[in-house]
Amino acid sequence: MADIIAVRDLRKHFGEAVRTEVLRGISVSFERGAMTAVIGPSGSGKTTLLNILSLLESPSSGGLVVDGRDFSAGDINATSAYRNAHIGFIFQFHYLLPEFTALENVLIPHWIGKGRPPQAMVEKAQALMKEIEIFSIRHKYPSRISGGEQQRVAIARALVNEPKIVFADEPTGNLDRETGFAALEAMGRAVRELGTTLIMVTHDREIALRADRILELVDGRICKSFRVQDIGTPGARRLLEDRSCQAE
Amino acid sequence: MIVRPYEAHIAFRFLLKGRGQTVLLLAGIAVGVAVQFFLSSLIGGLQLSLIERTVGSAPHVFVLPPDSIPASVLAADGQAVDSRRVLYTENREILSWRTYVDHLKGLPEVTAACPVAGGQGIIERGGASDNVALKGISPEDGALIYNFERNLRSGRTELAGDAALVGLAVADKFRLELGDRFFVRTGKGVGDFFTVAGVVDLGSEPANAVVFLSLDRARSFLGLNGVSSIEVKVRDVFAAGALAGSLRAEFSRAKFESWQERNRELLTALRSQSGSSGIIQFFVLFAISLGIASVLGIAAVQKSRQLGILKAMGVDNKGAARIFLIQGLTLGVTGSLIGIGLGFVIGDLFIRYMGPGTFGLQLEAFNLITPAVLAIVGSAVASAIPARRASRLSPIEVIRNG
Repeated sequence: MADIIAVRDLRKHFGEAVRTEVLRGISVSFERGAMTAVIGPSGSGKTTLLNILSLLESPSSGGLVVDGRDFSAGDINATSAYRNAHIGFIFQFHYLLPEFTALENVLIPHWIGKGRPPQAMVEKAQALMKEIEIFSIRHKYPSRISGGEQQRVAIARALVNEPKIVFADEPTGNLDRETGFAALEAMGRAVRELGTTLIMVTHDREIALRADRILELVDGRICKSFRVQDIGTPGARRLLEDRSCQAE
Repeated sequence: MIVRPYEAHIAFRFLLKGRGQTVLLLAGIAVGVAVQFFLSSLIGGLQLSLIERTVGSAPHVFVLPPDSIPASVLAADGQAVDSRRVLYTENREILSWRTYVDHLKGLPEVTAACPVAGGQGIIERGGASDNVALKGISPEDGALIYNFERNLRSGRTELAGDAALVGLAVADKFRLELGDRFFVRTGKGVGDFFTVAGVVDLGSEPANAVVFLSLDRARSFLGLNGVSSIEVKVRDVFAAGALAGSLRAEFSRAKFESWQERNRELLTALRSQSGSSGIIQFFVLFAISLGIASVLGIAAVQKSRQLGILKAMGVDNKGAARIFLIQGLTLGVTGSLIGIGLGFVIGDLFIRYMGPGTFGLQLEAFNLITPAVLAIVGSAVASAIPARRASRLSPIEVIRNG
């Protein structure tokens, strides 16, 4: 399977007078169509890595190639059209537009990229909503639906344009465990069906274990990187519990 | 500004869902535009009325003989001359008045030019007497200058022989009616009887203290070889000053005065009125713009999260800015249209309830379009502040800060 994202010696620092190194030379690649969980303690740089990979933030140095295009020096305004067409986002908070119904929110990415959605697109969005079990609330406004439903709407919105990559940052962080798992289940199903690459930041090891691959960051460096199916779920669990990287 | 469909879609929805806020903003703009429209129509109407009352039934340019000036203040030998013995030119008439009248009537901007044999007289009737202005005019030209057709209260405007048209003030004071005879004496002691042929109302007390005679009768009665002035009416009253100026450059043997030069205080008052009205209108517009800027500014802050995620999903900086510019423009255009309608309603009520006796409103396209355009521009400028904020918003900030 070809890589969809490749990074080489990626570095990111903030501040000039007091320089804070957040990423200290990350080199990694992500397989097309695979689900990768990025884990690590707070401040390890996982969200910054996700922001750079999703073209929302530019790296201080290093190489970034997404789907064969070099984005090492791209600014976020210049990459907006690419993000709209090929990237989906799911965040901890749903950030739905309260002025639009659930279905209208799902169709917003289409509005941005291609204008008023045709009937076929509306039907496609409704089919996606049916798949992740939010069809019944399609005409409700975000304030009238539950937190779990709001996050599912955000998932449908991320997937409606059939992006090549979906980035999820703690997608269930704002939900209770049961609702979170259900939302994650729905997201995983839809992503696999579409053959989309999913890169997800999470602090929840149980959620991470559902991914194809786990990448652990500690202090801005990759500490562990392994495929779950290579070592099996019990082996992966043991590996996650091993804190040797963090001790270093 | 090229607007992409999603920008208008999101902007309109923001306005529709924030209904209370939108209605208040629209009401503010509409009232502002209506007030501006009504105020400028009212002041325009008042000014037109004042100008009409001042020069509507009066000449716009006066051709006069040059002022009497000292012939010399020094004797030929260089000695100062006793001021009591200084000679003055006795040039108080325009002798070649026909040349001037023919020239003036040939100018495209001139609608009437009337030679006037004018002087002071004293009316004596039934033991009462008072000063009166005597004006000998050619009836056809005089009728155009003084709007006799409109201003004639009774009788007719034919002037021949002893027939006289008397101003309303003179008629009231001396209880003169059609066919009455009255005695007039000049300063030179010459006196004669005249007959009331008609009564005219020229709009004001001083203007009505006049007796019109035929030109020839007045010239012989006042002992004039020429005429004392030529009165001119022009198409555009405000072009009178320019005409007087060009005539001054062309003719050096006569004096030319425009109505503006004779009514400097009125013009200053009109200018002050326009200035104060402009200041009021500016502050009304400023208040509206501040309202829009603050409401949309707050909306931009409130919607930071949504804007952040929209930018992550592909809305670029210009698109984010245009969402707010469209809101500002929509508010400006809609509010202006409502304001124009409201302005017409207020104007109609004013005319209906204040009655026909008051001065009218100057309901002109300019008074209508100017506040509407200013409100639209003001709204766009006001929305530029939140638009700039939206444009600069980084999605990363929103994602980091939640």
